[in-house]
Amino acid sequence: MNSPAAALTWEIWHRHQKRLLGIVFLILSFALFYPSLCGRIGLKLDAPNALEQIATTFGQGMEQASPLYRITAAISLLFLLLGPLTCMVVSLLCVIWIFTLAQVDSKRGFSFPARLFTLPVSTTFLASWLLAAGAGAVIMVYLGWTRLVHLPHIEVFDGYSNCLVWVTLLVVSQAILWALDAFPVVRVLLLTTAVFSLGFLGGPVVHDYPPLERHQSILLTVLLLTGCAVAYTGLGKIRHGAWQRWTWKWRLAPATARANLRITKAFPSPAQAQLWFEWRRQTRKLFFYVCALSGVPLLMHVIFCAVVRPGPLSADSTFGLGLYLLAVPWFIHFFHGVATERELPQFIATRPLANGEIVMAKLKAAALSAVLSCVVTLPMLAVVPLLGDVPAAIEHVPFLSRNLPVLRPILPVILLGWVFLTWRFVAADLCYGLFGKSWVAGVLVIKPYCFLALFGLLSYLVHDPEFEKSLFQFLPFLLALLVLFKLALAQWAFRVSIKRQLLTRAAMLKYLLVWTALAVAFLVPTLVMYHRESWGLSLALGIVLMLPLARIGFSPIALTLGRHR
Amino acid sequence: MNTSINPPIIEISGLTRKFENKLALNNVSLQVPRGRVFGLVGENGAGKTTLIKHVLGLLKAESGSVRVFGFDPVAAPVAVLSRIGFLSENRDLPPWMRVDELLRYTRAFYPQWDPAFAEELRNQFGLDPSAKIKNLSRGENAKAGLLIALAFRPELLLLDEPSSGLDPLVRRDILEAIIRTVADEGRTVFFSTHLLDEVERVADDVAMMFNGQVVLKGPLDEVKENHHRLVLRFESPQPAAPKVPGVLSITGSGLEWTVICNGSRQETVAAAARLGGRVVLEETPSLDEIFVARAGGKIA
Repeated sequence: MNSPAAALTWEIWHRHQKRLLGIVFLILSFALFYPSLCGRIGLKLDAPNALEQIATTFGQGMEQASPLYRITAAISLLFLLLGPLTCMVVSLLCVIWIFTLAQVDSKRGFSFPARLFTLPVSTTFLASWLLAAGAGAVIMVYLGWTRLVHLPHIEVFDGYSNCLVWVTLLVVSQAILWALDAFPVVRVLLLTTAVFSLGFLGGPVVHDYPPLERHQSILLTVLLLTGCAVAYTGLGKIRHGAWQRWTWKWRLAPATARANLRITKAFPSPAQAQLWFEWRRQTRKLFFYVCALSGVPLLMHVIFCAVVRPGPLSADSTFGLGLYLLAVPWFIHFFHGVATERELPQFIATRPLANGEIVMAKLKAAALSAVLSCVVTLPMLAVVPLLGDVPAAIEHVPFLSRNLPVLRPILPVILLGWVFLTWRFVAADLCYGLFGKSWVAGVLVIKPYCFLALFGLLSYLVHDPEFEKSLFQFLPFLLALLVLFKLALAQWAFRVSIKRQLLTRAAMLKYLLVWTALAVAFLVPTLVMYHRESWGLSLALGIVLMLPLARIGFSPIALTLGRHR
Repeated sequence: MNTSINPPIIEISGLTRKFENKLALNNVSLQVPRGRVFGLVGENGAGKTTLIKHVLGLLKAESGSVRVFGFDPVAAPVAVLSRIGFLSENRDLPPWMRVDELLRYTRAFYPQWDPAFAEELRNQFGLDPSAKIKNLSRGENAKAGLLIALAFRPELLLLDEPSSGLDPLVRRDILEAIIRTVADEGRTVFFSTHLLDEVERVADDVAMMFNGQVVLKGPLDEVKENHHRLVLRFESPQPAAPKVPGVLSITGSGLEWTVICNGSRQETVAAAARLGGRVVLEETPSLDEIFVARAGGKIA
């Protein structure tokens, strides 16, 4: 290692070895096994639009198949289709993140590592090396996916097979992260805007806006060059402490003064203080991310519809936008739930507060975030009909249009389920992080793989008609046993928590009341609608299993183990 | 000290703790009397922070017992923590909070919080209420931590390396003004440090830790009185350190050698005389010298 460039390359390799090897492994695995896997289930990779091919195959060959077989087959095909494309997108995003060199700093959040500025290398070298090496890595990974793997052709992903889009995204991300080092909130908003702008320019939505489509390459090149200039200048500025003191405090001064006056009032109880703490510390961010990730693309659609190409969006884009807005709260809360805190900060552990109160504050803060995220999404969804023809978009999805009359009366329950699942992503697995053991928290990462494996097993077994018959006979008993087990565990956990004074009886009763209300709200319409179906009971029992009870009861006990090691 | 009338505020007996293969605490027994300033000294990694974490209930005793105000801090964290003001070595205040938010949040947990005293301390420490914790300097951060530890007038003030990494002015402020104030009010201060001059300045009692063991404890004056620093002069130059029995350490060269000993001074003097040395100077050693003598000699 006899040059700065070699040292920096070694550092990046050493720090991200597992990720980079993982990407290589993914590319090679897909290159070797994917075509034969698709061939086995009759998926033609050369079809002009793979999604349409699935729909045709699905419609023709499975009319007589059982519902379970159709469901597992559909999901398997979707996995098979979207798998390589999703892996490609994720691996390219991962490479982009690696080459921004963003590192977690307790004071500044994600920021450029200041220690690199103490090395005897010029800013020009640092910037140009990171820009060039990053671009090289992105191009290599891109070529790996496009040249080695036989990717299915899906229209939605068309634009993402444009290498210039990915290189521009890298450079623009570097520019935003480096130049706005001192402005974490503005940075998130701008990054979101940049990602969606490039998604617009490179993705299928651009077909809705012909003026943009015509000048796509020019626009991308301009963005790329501007990004390079901003990244270079930004790195130079933050190296010497410039651009750190910009403030709009003077604008916010009266508002801040009012806020100061407002918050001088003391909290009525420690529990309230802890709820405020949890909200401010973590869950407020989730709400903010939902606002940013939903608001920015919606605003861009509104602006483009009004300015660039006046007129409604296509049915596909309308449906995609609606689905995206509905999915954002889940997406954000799911990732927060998986990346749950693995250790209680000492500052909290030394507050005189019972474990149950700490857990309840976390649950309430998550509920607040889920409700607010969904509430803020509703008006955004209300904008979608103004941008495109929603009934026409729904017509494009036969399952939805067929079942719309049935779903309409239970819309409030569906909305409640949407909010509940958003909360559940954060709350249900809270206890794993509270143990304070990284291997226990690691279960959360392994869990999705276990579900995938279980699904794979089910897809295999469902080919046997006898299996499906036995499954439907056996499933209610299995689920009933699991429900009984869950209730017994919950009873034990709550009893222990109360006995050890980890949880107050009032807090437990409040949670049980909420749980019961949710169970009734979901079970009554389910049983009314599906009590005649053979799987109606299984569905009801599944809903009971989805409502977290035992794990919530265990959380104060888990926290005891994490707080007093 | 009559413990039946005035029970110790912290009682630790036979406490042992292992982290994987490392023995962090080895059969530690300690009593911290009420109304005193107790200094816990030891080199880095001696087990001071581990001991404090046991007092706070952040670590559970593997063997032995810990009682604070008569409670087990693991079984009754609320009862114990509501009476302790704690300043962490790690300066672990939430970086996203403003100073006024920190006060408002912390106040909710302590019914005895004194807002006027908190404001007085804030002014004394020169902390801007609208400043974010992440923008505070290291000294200001320590002051903010101390502010929330003091503002509810805790029965026990627990300071883990309070002046670590701070400039002399902040150290002076923290040590003399605050610790003495709290102690004067009849409250108890328990603090750990590896800066021994701090202990000499403010502590009434001292315990010295080495490799997870308490090797020395007692009132500071007694500890110092029991140790002697003797300068010995020999008739002929000594090529190597003379082997004087019973000394903790011996340094010097040629004719003059300095020894630190504890216990009977006469025995050391007699032993030196047998080797041909005589005492030319006798002083009470500083705590620093005692510590270096014990730690450097790997503890007799």
